[in-house]
Amino acid sequence: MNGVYFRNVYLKTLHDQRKLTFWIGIGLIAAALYTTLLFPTIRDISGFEDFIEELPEFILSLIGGALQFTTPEGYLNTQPFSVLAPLLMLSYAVVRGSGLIAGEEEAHTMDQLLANPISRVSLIAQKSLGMLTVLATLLWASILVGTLIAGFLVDLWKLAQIVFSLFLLGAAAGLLSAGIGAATGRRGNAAGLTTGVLVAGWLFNAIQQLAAVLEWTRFISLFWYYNGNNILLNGIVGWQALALAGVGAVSIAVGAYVFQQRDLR
Amino acid sequence: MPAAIETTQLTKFYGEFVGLRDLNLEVYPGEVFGLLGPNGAGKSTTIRLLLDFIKPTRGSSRVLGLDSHEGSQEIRRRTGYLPGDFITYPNLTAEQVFEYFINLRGGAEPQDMDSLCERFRLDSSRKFGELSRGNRQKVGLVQAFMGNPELLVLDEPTSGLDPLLQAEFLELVNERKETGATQFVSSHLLHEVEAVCDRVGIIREGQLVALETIEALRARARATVTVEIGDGAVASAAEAFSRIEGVEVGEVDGDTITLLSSDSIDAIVKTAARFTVTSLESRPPALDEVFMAYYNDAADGSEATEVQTKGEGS
Repeated sequence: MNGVYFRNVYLKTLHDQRKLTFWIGIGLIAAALYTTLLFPTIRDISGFEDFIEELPEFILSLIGGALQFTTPEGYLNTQPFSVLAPLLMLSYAVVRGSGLIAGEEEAHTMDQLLANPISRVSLIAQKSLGMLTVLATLLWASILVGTLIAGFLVDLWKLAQIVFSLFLLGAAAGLLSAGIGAATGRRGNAAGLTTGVLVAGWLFNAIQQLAAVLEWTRFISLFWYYNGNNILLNGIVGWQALALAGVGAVSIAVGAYVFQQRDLR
Repeated sequence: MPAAIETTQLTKFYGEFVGLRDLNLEVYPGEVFGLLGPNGAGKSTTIRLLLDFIKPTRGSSRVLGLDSHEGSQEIRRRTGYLPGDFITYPNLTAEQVFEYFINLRGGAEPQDMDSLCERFRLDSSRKFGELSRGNRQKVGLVQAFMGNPELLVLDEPTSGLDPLLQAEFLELVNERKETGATQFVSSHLLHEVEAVCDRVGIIREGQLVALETIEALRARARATVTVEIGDGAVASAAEAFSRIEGVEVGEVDGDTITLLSSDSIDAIVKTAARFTVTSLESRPPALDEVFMAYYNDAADGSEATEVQTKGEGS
């Protein structure tokens, strides 16, 4: 027979993600290569810092603030960890999350899957774990490749912290998307709503840096919890990490509860 | 021994639309029960309620002695299920699908699957997404029957199968019946139900309109006798036939009289013998006429057993 993938829902979830994981993995590794290999060039451009400082503040806040581009930490913080890595991670998380439960329902495979003696809660738990496993593996693989190839000096401990925080961001978005999908049975709802929450959060996080009046809005932005403290420079903040984990946990728990009560489509 | 399936006032509304209303049903252990009705009558709703895929608006059901909701996992462990429109993962081969479900369900062995595949002539090495409709249905049947579950719930099991495989399926149902499995089969195909079922429930617009053994239904069906009378005596012959108890004179067309008899045709033959008979044809009771009558006539609120048989369709 065909080996381990069909032993349970968790392993089957890994199997389902092979292709998407492969391409996102390629993307992440390419991104890691691109950003790390570009660093020496940027560092050596004279006047690059001056250029950055002259950018409008709003643009700066969108791309992660006016940190020093020419130190490894400053560069990494601004480049991959503000835009590219979250974007790739979140795209993956939203797509996978929305399809986790709702995808099976829309494909009409759910009745048959649940004709087997698995509880709906176990189904969600196994599928979510499968998604999180891939998320974590992808992140660490790409970071490993990036640092090995670039080989420049950053604080590896802080790097690990921001990667962990990025994982939590992806997990929160993925579980939110999965939770909405489980509650509604509609992939479109799940992906659309989660994307809305993320885009709004992204904007709020940028805006609150500009206007003190709007500072409170950062509390509703997942991005602020993710890297509001500039982790590469200042280290991770425990309660912010917990908040991200909490968003993920509550989303999937509510999704599971509603899924258990409702009719399958 | 508890009933294999028992429903009490089982009701499901989809908003305003009635999926199923006040279904009271008992399926005995070891029985082959047919749920018969036109498309959209509530057959799949009933099945999905039994397996806890959807929740009843009111009422309850018990399967294998367990509450459909509370005991759902245990019920599903002991039940083989074929949904009405069997679809599974298009990128997996049939063999991978079986392996997955065997692992999730437990109790089935790969060799069960092999012998079933052989029986239905299914090449399990091909991807589900590449299979024809008939072959997909075979995958559905194999996964439902594998592991010899004590209850089989089959929604439109033969749809898409060619006549040979339909026959194979009916034989399989009969074999499982001998081993004591209870089988709950929904269908809109009469001959399928007639061939294997002990009892049938007829469902229409979400309501059960009849619940009977196949024999009882058959007894209700009427034989059709067509007699051609010579010598221009057709009118007096029709008059004579109409006086026989249990015989209804249908159409009179030229010299030909069509009669419907709920009894034996003996009286008709004896009466006909008094005239010049140029031809006589008798067709046995057609069960589908009874079903058509249920489908067409059973209006809401009418008595479940009250049937008006019309000769309009077969």
